[in-house]
Amino acid sequence: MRKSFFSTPGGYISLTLPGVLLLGGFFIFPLLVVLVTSFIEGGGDSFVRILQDPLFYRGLWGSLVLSFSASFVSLVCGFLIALRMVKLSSRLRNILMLLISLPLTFSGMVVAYGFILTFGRAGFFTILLSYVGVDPVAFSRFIYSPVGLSFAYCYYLIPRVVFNLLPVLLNFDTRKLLAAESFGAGRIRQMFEILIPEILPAIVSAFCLVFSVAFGAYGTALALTGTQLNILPLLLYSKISDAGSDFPVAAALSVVLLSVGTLVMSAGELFASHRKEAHR
Amino acid sequence: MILILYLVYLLLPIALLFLGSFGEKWTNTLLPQGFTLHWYLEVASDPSFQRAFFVSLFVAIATCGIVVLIGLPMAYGMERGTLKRTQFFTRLLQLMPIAAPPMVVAFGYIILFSSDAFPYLGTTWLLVIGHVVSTLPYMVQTLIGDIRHLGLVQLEQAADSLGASFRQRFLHVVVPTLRHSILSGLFTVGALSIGEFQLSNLIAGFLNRTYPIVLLQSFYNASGFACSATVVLLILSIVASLLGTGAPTGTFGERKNVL
Repeated sequence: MRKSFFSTPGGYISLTLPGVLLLGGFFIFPLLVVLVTSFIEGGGDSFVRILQDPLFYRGLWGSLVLSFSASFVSLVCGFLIALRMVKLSSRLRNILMLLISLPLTFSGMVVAYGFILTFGRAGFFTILLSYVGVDPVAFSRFIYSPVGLSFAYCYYLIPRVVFNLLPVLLNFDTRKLLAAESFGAGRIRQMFEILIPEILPAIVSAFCLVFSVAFGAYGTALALTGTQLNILPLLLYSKISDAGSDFPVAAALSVVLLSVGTLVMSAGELFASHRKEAHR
Repeated sequence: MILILYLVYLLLPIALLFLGSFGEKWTNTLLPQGFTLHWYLEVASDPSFQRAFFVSLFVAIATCGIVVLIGLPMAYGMERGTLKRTQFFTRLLQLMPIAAPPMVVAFGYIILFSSDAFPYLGTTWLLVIGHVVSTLPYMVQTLIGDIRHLGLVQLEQAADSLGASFRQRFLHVVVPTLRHSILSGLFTVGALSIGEFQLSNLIAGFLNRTYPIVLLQSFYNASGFACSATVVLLILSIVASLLGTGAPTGTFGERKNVL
């Protein structure tokens, strides 16, 4: 039979060429340019300079607090939601998934303004709380702190956790829990000693995924607080958008953001794949 | 219980945005007062919103077009050509945009395209390319999932054994089989592109700011104005993502394992 070029293995791979070139030129290459700028331009001392900047440490700490609390809360909520969804009929589950998937395509701006209306200084929830005696000023001060802001981040992180954990929980063999129950383990004990260790790879990779998303994001935080909040992405944003900005220092900050994201993601991936191997 | 709490958390901000957009006045009260449509008229007659709306629409449509032209051959080629390693490459492709924050990519564009050699910063086409790069992985991922799920390779082997050429197989087997996935991927890409802020905000020029960028400025206006401007964007994303999730096939069950 006559084989055209595109039916050979090389032919198939050549079909990916436009995509690979585009990603290489407009994704990988710009990142390399940032990397080179951070190390070479400005005398190569840009990393020393950010390490001497107290704002950097405050930003790093704020980012770590924000991303950690956002991903921890999302993980716990997402896990419980997914656990509950397993027990629903598949029809109801599909409708819920449709609703839960909505925030994934929402603009950060929509989330930000919805959040202002709900939890802002004169927001619906803030006013409700003031009826039961919570001071709106204190509440809004909390909500615009890194920990408070993580509740806004949860809006689009929880769906990611649910979508990562639900398939794993659906495939989980519940007979293991029944076996534990027959030996007298309570529901809490079943969860912590059987279910969670068993699906730990998925939990860790979901956590790492949402952590890196939260660590690198700036849109929602910018809309809610301007550049007032001390987190690294906003520090970088103000460095970039300032007139006459210091490119090497901004590049060094970008490299920090990039490496934290990459490290956390790869750690999650490695852990997940390692555990899978060990189970075989 | 947790589900209900979560749904309240999920839907309350959306409901308040809708309510606020129809309310005449909303200052320090639980809910807005009065009913009016004039905020929508005001947004619609605002020249900077008009311009931003059409820029966003153009960018989203151009992005969709390019993403399908590049993504379809890419997904197909990856699945057929790299065989055992596909898993690794798809995962890599999926993780790349998450590990590298859009802001860092945008900064790379700023350095690269503000140079004398490539002075393209602020052009609409650079914006389109940025959106293509950030949405392409979603498209490829959707397509690869469905290529496997629908057993496309077996269908093609059948066509091949009957003597179909590559072109015949691609146009009469691959594209028709994947038409639902292409469509649903495109709606997702469109929704992501319309709402994209983090990259666009840094690389768009003054005259081609996209809708979310102009929207941010309106947050300092009256809440009714900001609400209705936000609702416009909200409706666009909801419609696109609903169309993307299930509507083209009419059944949700069929896409269960693509998650």
